[in-house]
Amino acid sequence: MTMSRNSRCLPITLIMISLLAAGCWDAKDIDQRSFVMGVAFDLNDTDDTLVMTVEIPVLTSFATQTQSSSDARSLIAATTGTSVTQMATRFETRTWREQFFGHTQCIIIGEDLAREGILPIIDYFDRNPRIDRRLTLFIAQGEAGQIFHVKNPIESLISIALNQILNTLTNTTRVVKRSFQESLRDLESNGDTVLPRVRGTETEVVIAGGALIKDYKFVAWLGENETRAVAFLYNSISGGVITVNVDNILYTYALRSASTSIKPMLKDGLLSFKIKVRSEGDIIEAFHKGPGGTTNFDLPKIEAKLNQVVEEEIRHLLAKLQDFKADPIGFDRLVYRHNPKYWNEHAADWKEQVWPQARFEITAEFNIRRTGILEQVTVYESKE
Amino acid sequence: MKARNKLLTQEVTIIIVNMILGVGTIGLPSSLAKTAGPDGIICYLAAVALYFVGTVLIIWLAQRFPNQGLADYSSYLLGSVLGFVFNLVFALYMISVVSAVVRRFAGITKIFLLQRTPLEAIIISMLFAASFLTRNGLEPIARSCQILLYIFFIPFLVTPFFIPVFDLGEFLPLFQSDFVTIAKGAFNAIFALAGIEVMLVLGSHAENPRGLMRPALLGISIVSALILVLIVLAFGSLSVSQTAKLTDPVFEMFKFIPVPFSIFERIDIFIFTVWIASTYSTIVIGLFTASHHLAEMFNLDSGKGFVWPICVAVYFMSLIPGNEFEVAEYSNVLVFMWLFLVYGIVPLLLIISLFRKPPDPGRQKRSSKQKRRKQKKQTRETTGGAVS
Repeated sequence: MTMSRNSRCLPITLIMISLLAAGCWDAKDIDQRSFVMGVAFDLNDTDDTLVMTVEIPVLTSFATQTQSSSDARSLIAATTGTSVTQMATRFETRTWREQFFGHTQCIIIGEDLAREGILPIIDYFDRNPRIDRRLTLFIAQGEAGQIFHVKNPIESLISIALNQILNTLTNTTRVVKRSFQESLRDLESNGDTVLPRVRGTETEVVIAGGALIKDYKFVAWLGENETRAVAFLYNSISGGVITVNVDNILYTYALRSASTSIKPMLKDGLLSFKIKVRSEGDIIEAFHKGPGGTTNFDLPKIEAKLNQVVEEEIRHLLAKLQDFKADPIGFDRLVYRHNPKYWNEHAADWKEQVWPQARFEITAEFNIRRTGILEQVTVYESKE
Repeated sequence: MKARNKLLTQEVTIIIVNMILGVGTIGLPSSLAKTAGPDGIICYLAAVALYFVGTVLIIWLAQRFPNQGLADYSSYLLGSVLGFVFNLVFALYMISVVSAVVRRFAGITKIFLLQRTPLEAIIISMLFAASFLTRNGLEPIARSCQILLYIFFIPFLVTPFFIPVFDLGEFLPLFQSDFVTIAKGAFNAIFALAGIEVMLVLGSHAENPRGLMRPALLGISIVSALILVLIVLAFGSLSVSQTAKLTDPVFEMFKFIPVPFSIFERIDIFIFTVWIASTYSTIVIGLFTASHHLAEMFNLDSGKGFVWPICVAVYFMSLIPGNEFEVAEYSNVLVFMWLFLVYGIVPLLLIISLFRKPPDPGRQKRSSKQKRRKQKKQTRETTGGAVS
């Protein structure tokens, strides 16, 4: 009796579960979505609206093995509007496929728009639960939308290429690699950060240098050496090379590891920061133009020169940041953490008065571990 | 084979861990960071300390009346009328807790996973799935919770090694908040920790009720440590200011974890699976506690018959809050009720029990068994020995 009742109930229960627990409302096949790989924002030249450009891969062109040169691998579409949501929804009038930002690799903001403020742009993405927070926020030198129009014969999608370049660029240390999450972390702290700079030519995209953001607004470009100093202070260096001139020989030092510690010091009411950079690495090249001979490596001298170069770069960067009254590194956070009482007294006038007056004690300690497989420097000796 | 109706010692720990881990865990780092900044950790530790005291009180009470549920001994201690009212309020409280959990689960699922699915459909499907296990009794629940616990542990153990950014400085400066702020933060943390009150009902089902304290405290310790790990990871990786801003920072933290060798593009979907499983176990235990408590109130052998009516009540109650802010207010009311129950009613019952000697343990159980035996005998006599 009981068994037969159970055997009747079980199929009904299973059917009910499969119907009710399936969540079919949200079923969306992959071909019903437009995967937005990159988004760019610019100011509209004609009125005060914004221009949103998206790069969407043409999935069918990736699926087919045979590819003719005329087949487009991506669709670049642009629309105008007054807010990001408005522009994103306007794309729906052109395609029935839903715009999906879950795989977006980069957000590029044009220089002119960034000068007016990046907060309204990033709010949409910060609020969107489907966004991958590992994407990168770029500031474009010139128009951001044009970056997607670069015709690189090797790269199918510029957004992917930008992401890949940034991942390999750590070897040059001339760019700050910050994910969206890390950028938000800086921005929400005090509104300042450094974002990677991108520019496009006809056939290639270049990521080098940085854009200084102060109070969510772009204020200045940072050169490649300045950006390297930022990378040291962000403690985000995992590799790269530094070339120094010692006795007319250019020594290229490859960073194997680097770490930076920053400690706020408060003495007699005066605020200073003790910055210590440590690095280990190898000499991978000794470049010499003039007459020379075979000499031994003067490692202490090369190390001293490396220390000097990096110290000067950091000092120069900090002076620039103080001039702009911008604190993208987060020195304010350090003061708040280590001297909360002092911070509470000076929080209101930090950027305007305290930060520009801060002093720094910078020391670099570079250690050369190897010189490749050669023990000596061999240079061409002129017979004349 | 009939399912056993007793909880083994290790199952007590498992039930407690499964009951506490759930919807509240995900949003806890945010509410702590919002209330007290880096001192959120202190708030959490204060809440845990408070929680340990509450656990000891609840288990003491349960131990004083081994083999008896809350419905039995509360009527005995408070008198039948007051006891009945209290039991009814407790049942309502448990139903409200399940409603709040279901509603928060549905709200979060709608934001992150099923954006177009109506809230009602998410709630119904979860209640349907939960009621299925609940109706099967205590042993299957304990076994399922045991399996689910392994699923929870893996991400907890693995995640710390894959967090790409972790700044210890985020925990500074400590002890900057005043007492009121710490108390507020601790109050917020209580919702995420609430759940031990189920032992008032389920404690009587422990195989060894006298030794209930150890597994209960172990369960609380495990779950407190797991939640602490999540808070520390959220603060250190997302920063305190970001954690405060996000509604569900733990999910965002997992989204940021790079997957080694790019095996998967994103791992957050696995975390959602774990989270749904943990919420499911909370709902199942909550439903079982409520139904079983009602069964004890009305002297029934099983609460199976109450499961569906409770699910209907939970469905309608979970739809009362109009938006997420009202859900938060609803949760706050439940925290007040929890505090009143654990630090008001439970100590009161304990004090009364000092003056009113606990009845012979198992007397009631024995009497009900005798009643059943008598009924069986009568049936046998009337049917001439044939029993179906």
